[in-house]
Amino acid sequence: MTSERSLLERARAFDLDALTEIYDLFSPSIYHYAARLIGDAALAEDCVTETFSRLLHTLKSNNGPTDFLKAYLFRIAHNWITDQYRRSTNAVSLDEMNEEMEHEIASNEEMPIQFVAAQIDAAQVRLALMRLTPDQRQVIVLKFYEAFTNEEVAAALNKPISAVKSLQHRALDSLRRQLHHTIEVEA
Amino acid sequence: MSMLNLFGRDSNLQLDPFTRSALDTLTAIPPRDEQAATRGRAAFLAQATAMKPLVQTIVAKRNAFKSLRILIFIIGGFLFGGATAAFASQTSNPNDWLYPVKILTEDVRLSMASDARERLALLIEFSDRRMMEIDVANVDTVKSRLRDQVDEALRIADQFRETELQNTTRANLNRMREVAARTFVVTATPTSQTKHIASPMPIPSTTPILWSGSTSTPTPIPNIQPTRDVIRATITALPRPTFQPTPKLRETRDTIRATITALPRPTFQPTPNLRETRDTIRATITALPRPTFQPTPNLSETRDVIRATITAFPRPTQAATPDLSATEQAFRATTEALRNLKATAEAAERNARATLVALLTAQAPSSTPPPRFEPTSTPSPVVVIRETPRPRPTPAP
Repeated sequence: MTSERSLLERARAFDLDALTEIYDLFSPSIYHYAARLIGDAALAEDCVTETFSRLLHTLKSNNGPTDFLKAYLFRIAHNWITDQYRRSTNAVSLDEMNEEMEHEIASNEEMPIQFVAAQIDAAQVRLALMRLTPDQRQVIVLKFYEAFTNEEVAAALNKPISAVKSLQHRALDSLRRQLHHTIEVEA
Repeated sequence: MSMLNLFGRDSNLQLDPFTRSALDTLTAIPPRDEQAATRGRAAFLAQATAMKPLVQTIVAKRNAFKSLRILIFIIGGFLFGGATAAFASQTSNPNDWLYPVKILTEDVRLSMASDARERLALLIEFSDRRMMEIDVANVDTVKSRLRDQVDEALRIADQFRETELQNTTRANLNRMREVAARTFVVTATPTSQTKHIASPMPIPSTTPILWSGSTSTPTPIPNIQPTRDVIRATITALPRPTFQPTPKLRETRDTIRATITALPRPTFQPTPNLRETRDTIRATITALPRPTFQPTPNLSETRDVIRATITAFPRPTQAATPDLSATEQAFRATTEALRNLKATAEAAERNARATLVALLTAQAPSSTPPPRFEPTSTPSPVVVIRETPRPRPTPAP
């Protein structure tokens, strides 16, 4: 924590070494988070670029976090993804996902059946995640894919830890219902 | 990365196999494009480099403002704290920890006094304070300070002559002497230095002040009696001197009086020349004939002629004014006659018009058409019959 605070202090003075260290340290996680939720590599790169650009503007105005920098970056990325989905009307349509899968199948010649099955499962889960509320979706993604602790999730959501725990249980129930609904529709 | 490892971090998680396997499908992420990642990193560093000068300027201004705020806060704190300490220290005693602040404020007030009278008043006030402090705590530093202040006050009082001192200043000076008397009793034996206190006149500048030696190194005081009653009793018991002029002065005064008495008193005697001149002027004036006003004969004659003329002039009598009422009645009768004449003429005109119409109607043949109007070279005379407009009767109210 002390090293992160000193890193942030140097970053506030726009020390390029500190900023480079922050980028190299957290940009892969932000990319994975965005790619997992969006399913698009180009949009995930845009998400990373926008997240770190917002961080620079925040540091310029002497705001931003004093600790939990990783959680702060994930909160920026999550807000950007949420805004992106709100702006895009057909971002979560299964048809578009199927078109993307067809394109990837054409470029992937090895074991097309397994690849297609995996892509369909991933699209169904991503669709179920997108039908959750933003906070529920972020709790599940941060907890189960990014291995955040409750404290870090609370920092990312700007909520108390007790609220995060109850939010996590509601998110799992809702996700389970969404997955069953998707399977029934497919059947 | 396995899902089980992720879930293992939180023991509260209870995932059913269905949800767990579903979430596991999103674990695998396609590898990141290295070129895109490099481009993103370069863009981030370029943006940071571009913003760095602006940020440094902002940070410098922010730090300067922060330093200024801290400086203002510190100065304000010192001023407020100093004022509070100075105010609270005014009632402190020599044993209190705020007493040095009290002494410091007194020194500051003395150094800021621009006038000798003001400085004298401050010294009297501070000497009173020292006396009260000696009653509470008999400390050598307080006594030495009292001695210094009394010395300086007497030295300042010596600069003024008796006539220059106003009533208030004179009262302050008397109080100063009282303070000096108290100090003397407190700091030394009364019998040895009573004569210094007993002087009713301002102490000359050449006269040494109550204590001999330097004021900065006070000598230890042997007998100390801080009781104010004892001091007052001692002062009351002191003999009050009376002013006795010296014999030399008396002789000088008598000599001056005798000299003045022996001097001849000047009397005013007008010179003979002036008296003669005055008498001559008076005789001349008396001898002058007094003019009498006699009207000239011509004027009196003229006046008599004028008076006779005026008397002979026939005085106008008040003539009877003509009878206006008769004139008015005559005018009204004339107007009525004219009005009747006008009515008669109008009636005759109407009769003539009716007669003319009857004649024209009787002479015209019934079969022949009416003569056609043809313009001639010589226009026939046109007879215009005008009817005077009659005034409309006014409606009855």
